[in-house]
Amino acid sequence: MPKLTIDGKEYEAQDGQTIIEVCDQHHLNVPRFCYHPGLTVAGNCRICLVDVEKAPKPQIACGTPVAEGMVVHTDNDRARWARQGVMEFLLLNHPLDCPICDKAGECMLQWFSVEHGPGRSRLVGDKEHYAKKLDIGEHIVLDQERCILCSRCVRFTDEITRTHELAITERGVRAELNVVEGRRLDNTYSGCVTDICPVGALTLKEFRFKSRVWFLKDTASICPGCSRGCNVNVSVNTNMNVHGGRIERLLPRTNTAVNDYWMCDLGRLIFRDLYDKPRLRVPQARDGGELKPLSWDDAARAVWVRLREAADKGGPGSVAFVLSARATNEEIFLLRRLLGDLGSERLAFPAHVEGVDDGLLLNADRTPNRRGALEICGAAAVDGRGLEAIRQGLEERKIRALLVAGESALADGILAPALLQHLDTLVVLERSGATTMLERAHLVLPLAAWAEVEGTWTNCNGRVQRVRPAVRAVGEARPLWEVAVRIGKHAGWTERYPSPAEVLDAVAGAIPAFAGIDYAAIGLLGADLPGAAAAAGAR
Amino acid sequence: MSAGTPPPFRPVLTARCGKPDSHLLGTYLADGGYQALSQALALQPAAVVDKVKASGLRGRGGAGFPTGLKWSFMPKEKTKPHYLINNADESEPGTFKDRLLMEKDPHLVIEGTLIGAYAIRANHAFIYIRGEYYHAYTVLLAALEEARAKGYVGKNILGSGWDCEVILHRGAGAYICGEETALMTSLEGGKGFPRLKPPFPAAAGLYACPTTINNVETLANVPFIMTRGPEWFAAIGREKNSGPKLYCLSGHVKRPGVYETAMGISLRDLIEIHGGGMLHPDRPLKAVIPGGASVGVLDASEIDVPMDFDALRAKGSMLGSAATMVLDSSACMVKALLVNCRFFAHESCGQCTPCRVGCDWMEKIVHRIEGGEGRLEDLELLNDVASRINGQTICPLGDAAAGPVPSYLTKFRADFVHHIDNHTAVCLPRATASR
Repeated sequence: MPKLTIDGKEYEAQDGQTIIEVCDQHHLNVPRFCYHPGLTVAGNCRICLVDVEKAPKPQIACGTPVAEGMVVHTDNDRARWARQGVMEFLLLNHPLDCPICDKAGECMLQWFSVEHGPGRSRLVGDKEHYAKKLDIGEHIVLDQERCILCSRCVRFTDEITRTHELAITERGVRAELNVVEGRRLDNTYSGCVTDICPVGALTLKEFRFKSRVWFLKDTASICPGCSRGCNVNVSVNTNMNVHGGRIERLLPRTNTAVNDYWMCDLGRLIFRDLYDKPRLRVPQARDGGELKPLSWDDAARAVWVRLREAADKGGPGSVAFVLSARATNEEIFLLRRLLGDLGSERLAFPAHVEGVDDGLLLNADRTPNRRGALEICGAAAVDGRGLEAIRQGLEERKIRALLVAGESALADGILAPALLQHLDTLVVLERSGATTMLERAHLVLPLAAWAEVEGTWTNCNGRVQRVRPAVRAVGEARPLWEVAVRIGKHAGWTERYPSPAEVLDAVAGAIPAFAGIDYAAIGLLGADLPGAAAAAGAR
Repeated sequence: MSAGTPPPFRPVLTARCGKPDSHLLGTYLADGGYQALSQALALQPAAVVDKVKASGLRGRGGAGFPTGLKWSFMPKEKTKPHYLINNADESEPGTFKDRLLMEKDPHLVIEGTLIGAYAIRANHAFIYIRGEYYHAYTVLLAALEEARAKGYVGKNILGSGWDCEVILHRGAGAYICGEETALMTSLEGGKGFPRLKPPFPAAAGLYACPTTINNVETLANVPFIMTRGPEWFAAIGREKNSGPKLYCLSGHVKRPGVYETAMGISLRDLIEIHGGGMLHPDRPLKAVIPGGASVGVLDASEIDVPMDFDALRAKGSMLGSAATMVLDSSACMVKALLVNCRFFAHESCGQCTPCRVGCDWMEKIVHRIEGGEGRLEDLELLNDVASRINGQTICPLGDAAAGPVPSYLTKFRADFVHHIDNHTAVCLPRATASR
């Protein structure tokens, strides 16, 4: 464990750590372009040059291993002089088109230019020019003129996706980043290159010219795309003149226990679903063949009354719930309780499996909370047996009342309209309209969508992570947990459950797998279910 | 030469170069070839290293690092394959010494390579030859086949139980691939990008295995150290700068060519005795670049310097590859620097920022001055840009490009000022003294 001195203060480092790793650990500011903790060290940008005593020349902090007794100066004259030189070189041929560059405001070249640059160029004559606006992939545009050749993106495609689409061709000042001849940057993680690009050379087509980044407000949440539960930031536009309140992008949020620094393109663009389909905005009840709006109070009462009636008439098992593994732990718990109050255990979570796990992040299970559903409701509910039992119950007309939350598309699949037509009560809770099931529903309640709800999901490795609302729910749509609480009030629940935090407390108390899980302690990076920690290591 | 009466020097490395069929195995064996190898194989590898250490042999590729010491950096415990690379990517402007050895005495090159490989306990040696050296390549390739057929290369060499395969690889025309780590990347099939150090090649070089890389001329000295002894070697030249040395003399001299002398001949003797003096009697000497484009330039007053590692370093220059380029009074030093800058800008691999951008910027500045559009402050700018490249890059190419710049600016300032003051692209009149 070598001890070294950085800027006059002594630090203890791990064997094999580099200077920049120690600096990052202790929040000492060392600029970097090519260095990225998720990639191998390239050492090519030279902006992290620091002065190491007894070294004949400045050393790169990213590529210099610490040694016992090393004395490092990150901000003395020598280090500043070296960095200023590098900054001037980097900006020499840079187009400085910040006013039209999407990266402006979150551009490392801008930050470090302000901190370390000379403030003016001594170049006489023309800058070198390179190609701008090259369409190199389904989602990616390349501007070679802005590129500082840090090779982060090249290393990403070499080391993370191992797809090798990118390369730096030519030599010297003619060197340029490009896709390998005959190929396109079309891997399923291509968006990540725009995150790690320290400048505006690689931009995401879906975000280009959508918003200046300083208008964006980030909310730490979880990607709903699959059971991995990649940590994300949801960027919402606050510029009321343009796209106020609209989600403009998702960015991976660093969590080395889950997704490192990355996310797949499917997850990155999943937010567009929110805007692609028409949303349900008010609770509705069928009245004379037609769906008519009613208040939430009336709707909640009607749901309880009709379900109770079916249970009383048909006996235990005459009520069934079909829930979504996209619901939060809290929502699943509350609905299971509601079903229990009705004397039934007919509960199912349809599977959403597409293809196979891609070996990196994207899992074939495209639901973010199947693990939570499993822990709370048991294996039969999630492995298809539950759904088959419900289908049979419908066929045999034993089930008189059915509540479907977030899975109304099943009417186009296993729960065909013919099975639903004999129901006394069909309650559908859904986000968007236009599904066949709504035509049969007696009550339709609008649900808040993913970016609008709060709660927790349990990922494939048993890590409980918090989903936070980034935008307000549309119309009168409400999150499922809140709907459950409203209905529960009529069922005689005495608990108040003012927020998901109190529900999770109840989950932790009632479900052994969740013992000890505390809402506040989950924080930004999640908490493993007790007993799941070992499994998570096997990720 | 240094104090005392030096024994008359008789060529060592080039002794066979003028002989007919010197490239064939038969003549090489007749002249005692491969006896050094058999002597080396009778020793433990560590003893071979010790002999080379004792000789004081320093690397002939440019840096002058002690060869035996470099060999001793290889791991004592062999846990991975060891590799020896003979760096035959001779690309430093003005350098053509290794080419002579490879074309005229390829078996000497092979024998030196084999002894080096044995010393570091390698079973594979690579000769990375400059792509443009096609003739040398064909000669070496034929020599390797001869040697392999006679059991000097391959399995159980000379019955010693030691195997060594020698692989000849042609470069594709990049100066940077002469840099040791770029060479390894290139040999592995990658783009010739230098690597960060640490790790050094002796720890993780070719294919991430312990690797030693030596210059052709360096390894060519080794057989003679084996047969004639380290003391013989150390007695040639000056202390710490010992052995025979090849000088590549070019430029404005009567007889340009490769000359072998004892290390440390004075630059004056090299030009006047070996080179036959200046090409044109009416054009006096103006400048000498003693060690290739990467080293500081000397002016006419400095030519009594011994041509060895330490003496030239003391003059602010370097022996480098001993590519001695002589310029007479007709030469414009602005143009000379421009040629240099253009070369390095063209050959910069483009990996790290200061070299990629800085070398190109320096070329632009000198080009502007040379074209009569320079400003006096450009001299200061040029100096400053050079100082921000020098020592800030991944590999020594940046140092090579930037290091010599101050010597041109200080020693030949008048040439620069002439272009600037007169706003002219026409060089300083040739008769005018340079200072």
